[in-house]
Amino acid sequence: MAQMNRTEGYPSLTAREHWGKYAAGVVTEVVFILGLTLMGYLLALVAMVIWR
Amino acid sequence: MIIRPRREDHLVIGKYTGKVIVGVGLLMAVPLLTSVAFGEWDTAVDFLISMAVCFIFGYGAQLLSRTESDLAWSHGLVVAAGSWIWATAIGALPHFLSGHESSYLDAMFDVMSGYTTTGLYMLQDLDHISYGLNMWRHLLTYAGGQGIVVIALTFLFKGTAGAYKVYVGEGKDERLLPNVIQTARAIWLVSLVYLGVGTIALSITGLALGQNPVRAVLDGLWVFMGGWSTGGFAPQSFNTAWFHSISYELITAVIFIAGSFNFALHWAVWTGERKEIRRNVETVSFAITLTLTVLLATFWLAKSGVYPDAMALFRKSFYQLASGHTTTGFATIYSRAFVTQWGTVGMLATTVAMGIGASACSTAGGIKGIRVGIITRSFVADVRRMVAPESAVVREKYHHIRANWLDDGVVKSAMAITVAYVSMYLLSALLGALYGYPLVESLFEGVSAGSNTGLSCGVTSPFMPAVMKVAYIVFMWLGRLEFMSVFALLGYGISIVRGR
Repeated sequence: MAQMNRTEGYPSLTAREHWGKYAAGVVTEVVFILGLTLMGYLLALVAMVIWR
Repeated sequence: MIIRPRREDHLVIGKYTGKVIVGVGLLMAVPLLTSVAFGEWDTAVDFLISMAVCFIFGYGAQLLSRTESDLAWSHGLVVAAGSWIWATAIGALPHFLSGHESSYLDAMFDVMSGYTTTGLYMLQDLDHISYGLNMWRHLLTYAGGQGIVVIALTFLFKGTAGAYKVYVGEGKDERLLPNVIQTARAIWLVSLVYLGVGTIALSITGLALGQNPVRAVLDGLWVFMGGWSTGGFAPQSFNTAWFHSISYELITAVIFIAGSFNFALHWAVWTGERKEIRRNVETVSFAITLTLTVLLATFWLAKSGVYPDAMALFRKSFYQLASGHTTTGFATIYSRAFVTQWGTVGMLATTVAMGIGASACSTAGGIKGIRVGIITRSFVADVRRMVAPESAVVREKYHHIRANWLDDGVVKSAMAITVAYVSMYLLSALLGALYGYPLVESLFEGVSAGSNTGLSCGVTSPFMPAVMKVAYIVFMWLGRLEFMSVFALLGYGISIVRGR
């Protein structure tokens, strides 16, 4: 059963039932950021091809 | 007619400001314990003295301001703006007592830079400061990124109605959850999860690079705090260039870009709305402006032949630009390399990235992606209106957590804050130029301070004129609080003097 917030009566933010969603959220964000980083690397490759 | 504040107004403001100052004192327990753990007794005494001063002022203010009244909106704004000044003035004590600052003004500069997650610093001989002071520097920036008031909200404020008004005053006006205290806790949850994951990743990398275990963990923790808060403080004077590691650079880039996301976006993605990350106006705006500025700098640097291959070019160009755009300030090049290697185009691309900044309701500064997105959409709407038949009704939407109509009020508000930021940037450039710095350098440094970034091209130093130090402190403060709270504090001051 979900760990309940003692004063407000709804599942606590840290209840175990949320952990999977939180982990998936972190992975989504990291993948998005790595996509931006890849864009930076591709631009550097293209720039080197054009100017060298 | 200006109405003079009543005694009750002063009492409410004094009471809540006192609570925030006590919060700063409690925060000092962490560096105090660090100093004790490493046997740094002089540093421990510095923190004991500073804590005592915080408690005397904080509890003294609460004792002298006993009232049952709750905060009004104007009180909340004044408390938020005023608390940052008090927290800076008192928080500078450990810096000053350490002997690493040449004046109390320099100590205040460093502390305001920490709280506002800027990252510029005056501190001397950074590579040889105590563990305790290093912990305090990074904790300042981590706490400042959360918002000093969010900390106080989480632990010290009992009510929620008044607390929300202070929370808004600090520039974080989104509720992740219906209850403001729960919102503050959700912000903490996101930050603490990343703190755990990021510190472990950086510590393992540090160990792999040959650092001793204690130092690897401490550097991992501190660099995480500097990155997540988009503060840009690092324990070494060479900043993240000290590690000379692509793994360290990639991990820190993930940390500071994640740190620059809106907490409401984090919460949406973490609670199952994963598509939000590619639909949100802020991430879309950030991806576009980052690509454009990286494109400009990368092509310019490739043409200039500064770096020998694509990997070196990517590591220097993307890292500096992403760091600047997220207003972090981590750097893998020396300050003067911006001037001597990157040249005018490279510096201007970085300046634009810093000026725009990242997301609202995050640890980042600058104009913010949401405003850039809103203003761009309003231009698009205007163009559509011009080409549409006269009888057509053209309405534009933007996506931020949900679809929002682009009405005149939203556009006016975004334009007003953007104009305020641009004016501040120009004023800072003018001030630097008046003191004899080249215009491009003074613009770069001024935008860096005003957007709370912290990248430096060498203007910021203990030898900088005192007027510029004071101006940069004000720019950092204005930029972090997005003007309104500071204007409310000024209005409060004027109403005391001129009100009836």
